[in-house]
Amino acid sequence: MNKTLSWLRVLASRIRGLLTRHELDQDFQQELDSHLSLLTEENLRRGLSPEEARRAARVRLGGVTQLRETHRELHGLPSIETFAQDIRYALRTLRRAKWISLAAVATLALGIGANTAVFSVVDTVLLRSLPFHEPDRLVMLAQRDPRTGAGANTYFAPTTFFDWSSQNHSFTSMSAVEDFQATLAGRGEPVQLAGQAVSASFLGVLGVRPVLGRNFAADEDFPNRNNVALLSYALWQSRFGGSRAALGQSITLNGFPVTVIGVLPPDFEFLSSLPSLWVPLGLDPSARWSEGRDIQIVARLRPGASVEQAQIDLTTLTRRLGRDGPVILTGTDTEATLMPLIESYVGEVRPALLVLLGAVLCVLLIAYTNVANLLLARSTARRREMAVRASLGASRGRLVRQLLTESLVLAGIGGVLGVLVAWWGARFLVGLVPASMPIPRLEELGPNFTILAFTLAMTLATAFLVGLVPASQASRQEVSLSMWHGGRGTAGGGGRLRGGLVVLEVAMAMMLLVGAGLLLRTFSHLRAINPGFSDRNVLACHVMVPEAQYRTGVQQAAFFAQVLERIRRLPGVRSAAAIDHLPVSGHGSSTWIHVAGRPEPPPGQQLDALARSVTPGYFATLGVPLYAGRDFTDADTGVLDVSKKIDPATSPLKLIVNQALVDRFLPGENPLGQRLGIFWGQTLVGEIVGVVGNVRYQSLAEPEEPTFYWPEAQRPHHDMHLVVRTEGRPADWVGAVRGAVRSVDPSVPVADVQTLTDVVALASSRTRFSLVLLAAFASIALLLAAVGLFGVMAYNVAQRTAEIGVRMALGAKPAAIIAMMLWDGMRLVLIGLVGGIGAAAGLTRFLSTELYGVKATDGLTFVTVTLTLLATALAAVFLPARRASNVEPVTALRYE
Amino acid sequence: MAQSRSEILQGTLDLMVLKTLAAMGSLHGYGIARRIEQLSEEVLQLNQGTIYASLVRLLQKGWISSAWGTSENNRKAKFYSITKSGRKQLSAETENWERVSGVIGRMLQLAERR
Repeated sequence: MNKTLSWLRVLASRIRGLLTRHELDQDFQQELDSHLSLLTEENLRRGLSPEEARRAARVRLGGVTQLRETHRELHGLPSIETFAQDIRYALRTLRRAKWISLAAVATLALGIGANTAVFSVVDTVLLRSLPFHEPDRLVMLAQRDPRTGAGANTYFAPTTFFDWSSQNHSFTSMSAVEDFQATLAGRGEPVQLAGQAVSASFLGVLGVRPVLGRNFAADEDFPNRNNVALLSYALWQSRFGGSRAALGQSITLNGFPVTVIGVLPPDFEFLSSLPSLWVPLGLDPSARWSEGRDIQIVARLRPGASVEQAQIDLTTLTRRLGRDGPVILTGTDTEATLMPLIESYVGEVRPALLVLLGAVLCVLLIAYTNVANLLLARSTARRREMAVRASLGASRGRLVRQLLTESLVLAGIGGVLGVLVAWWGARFLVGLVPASMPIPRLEELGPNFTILAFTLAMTLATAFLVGLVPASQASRQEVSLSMWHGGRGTAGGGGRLRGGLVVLEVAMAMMLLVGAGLLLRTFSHLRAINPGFSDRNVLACHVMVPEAQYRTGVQQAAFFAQVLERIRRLPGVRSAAAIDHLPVSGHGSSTWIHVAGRPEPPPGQQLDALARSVTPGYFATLGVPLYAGRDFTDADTGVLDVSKKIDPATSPLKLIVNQALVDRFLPGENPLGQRLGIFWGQTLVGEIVGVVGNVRYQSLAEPEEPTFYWPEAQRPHHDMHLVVRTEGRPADWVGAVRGAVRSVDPSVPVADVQTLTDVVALASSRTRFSLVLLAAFASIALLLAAVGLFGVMAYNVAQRTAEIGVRMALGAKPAAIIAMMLWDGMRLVLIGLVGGIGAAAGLTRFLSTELYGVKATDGLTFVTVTLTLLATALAAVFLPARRASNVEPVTALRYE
Repeated sequence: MAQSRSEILQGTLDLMVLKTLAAMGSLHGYGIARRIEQLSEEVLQLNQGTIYASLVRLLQKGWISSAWGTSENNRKAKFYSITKSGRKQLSAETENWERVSGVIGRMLQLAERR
């Protein structure tokens, strides 16, 4: 205790001394001066001459400089001062080995920066828990056919929701959620925005409270009473300037007046980042609609209820209801499954992010390996220096500290630069995310300090480990021995370690390059796909009319007919048409069909076809070939009112089908004049009047599906996508098209204006995203591996200068020397390549969901990548090897 | 080895400085050095500068304090005096010293008798 206290006091006084060093020096000088004068007087009294007296005084006192040094040392903190000295020395030695230091610092900065950036994204999206109350208990309900084992369906008919939410034993609450698009008018320009219609229980299930205003009331969740809305924080800010006066205000949604009752927290989003408005779903519980599987169900597990129990509960419930009610509802064979809510958020982006994570870990490992290698090489080269310093009296601890300081300085500089790279890299990643991947929660992304701290800690640990190996090597050796032999004998343990690290680097670069190569092939395949239409010079946009003003299908169809008429009259417009969902977008309906008059397939074996609603001129506008029959005309009219029973015999419905449908349902027959039965609540019957080419609607990669088109005039929608073929750049017609829509009805907004080329590009943007990232990492890896290889080889040559000199003096030709050195390096590369090919073959299957038209073990990719790596490695090895052949035997021998 | 030897020397010098200050009150560096030389009847010829290292150590431990004053020849000089904890330390050290030197003395006598 006492000892600690006195030690503390010494420490305090030393720190004080460090701060007031200059004053202390002056004080001490004064003290010594007066001491000298007293001694001189004493000597004078003894009878010495003044000069003698002064000289003798100085002798009695001792060397003033040395006294001052001791005094300073006692007052200062020696360890801090030596540390500063070590750092200065480290900087000097690092500067002397400029290229190695630069390579190491750049390597570290890239490694730390890339790692932190990617980890920040992964953490934000995958790992951070959702901003809801006890998010672990939140699940999305799903249904699965145990026989086919096909992917779970998460969309349900309203009646299923009511049955489940009222009769289950496992959940505290459930909410239905349905996405919608709506036109928001009042307060500024009309805009289209995304929203979610939800049960009144929605916020209760999630455990979220509005930051302003109130939640939905239970009695607002009924038809005709659901005219209230909650705003997203962002919408509140942009549309209402963040004013409290927004509460109680009326906005117009699809033409209906809706009252704003509250604002949700800034970080609130459910399943997607797009919705900015929430309204009560307002389902009629007594209506019991069994068609239209449009709603998703989120539920909160009761405390104590397990996922398994809840699944059995719902499955039993479904079977009982299926037995008692109409079989078609849910089927008796499906079983209910629960998906953790977080899974619904990240399920889609997880593979891409995990691949990214793997890639960045590889790069990080390569980076550390490289730095380790560079420092190892350097430390071996400095063995002699260490030996000299040791023999001059430097203690072992002192040498170790010196070496550690050097690697710490390296890591420190690399770390600081890494922070910059991380900051910039995270921004870059977010910017790279395509619009087709509305990754939830990405807006929250900021520099993640936890991860940065973790990475820096890892760097420091690496610095210590890397620094320790040479330090212990350097200090352990026999001083005298290494003074004479320090420069020679390289095949020791250090050499093997360095070789192993190079092998590892090459293997990892190989893996990344294979991944990037596979994605590149996928991408070029995707771009080469013929989607079935021509995207050149076509402008597309989304137009939605407010349902309040356009209540009937006749009104809706009339609006679009008028708009298209005006657009067609614009100068430079070749043709214009509309469709309910654009190609390669993955949106749109499908249903069961069969050839009318033939036996219907039994339940469970029905065949699906896509249903699209188009106006006349659609196929011409998109350049889809018409193989037989005719296009729709303005004469194909008569809106089908599907809420009433339609007599098949008098149905006016006309259909155009694609070639794939003919091949599947009417192979070898003349399809024209044939009639199809379409399941749409009831069975609608329509006559085939034309056959067109296949168009890819789901995605670029998925093959064409059987598709039928019906005339928009018979199956109208309140929202349609316009497609306009222009004579020049489509962008030049944006204003004119907007004007045409406005001239028909100024309250109707035009949204999602883009070229069809953009639409197609967006369809491959996910692959492009993965490709760009993986390619970037692969290039970094290749570069780093080359740097590492070069460093090690250059070092080897330097180490073996004497040996090479002897060989040349004994008559070895330069070519032989080059061959020898090449083999030395390429041996490592070959081992790395073999390992890398093996690892890549094992790991690329994780990429297989991202691939198209190429197998995960694609031979061409593997061969190309191997050759690329070999060429790069050869270049990295050749330069030092050639230098070896230029060695002058005499110089080399004198070098020793 | 080298270190432990100097430690003993440092310790003895520190003890002598403390004893001097306890006996003489306030003194400057020259005064302390002279006093030690006189008491040792000029057997101990100090490199007088070494006294300052000792003074810094004692100051840092809080056993002595210092203040600026004027020397006999009218120069500015630093005067040192022993503190309360310094006196306590001195008596502890003295006791310790006597015990050790007593042991050593007995040992040496024992060795002689043999």
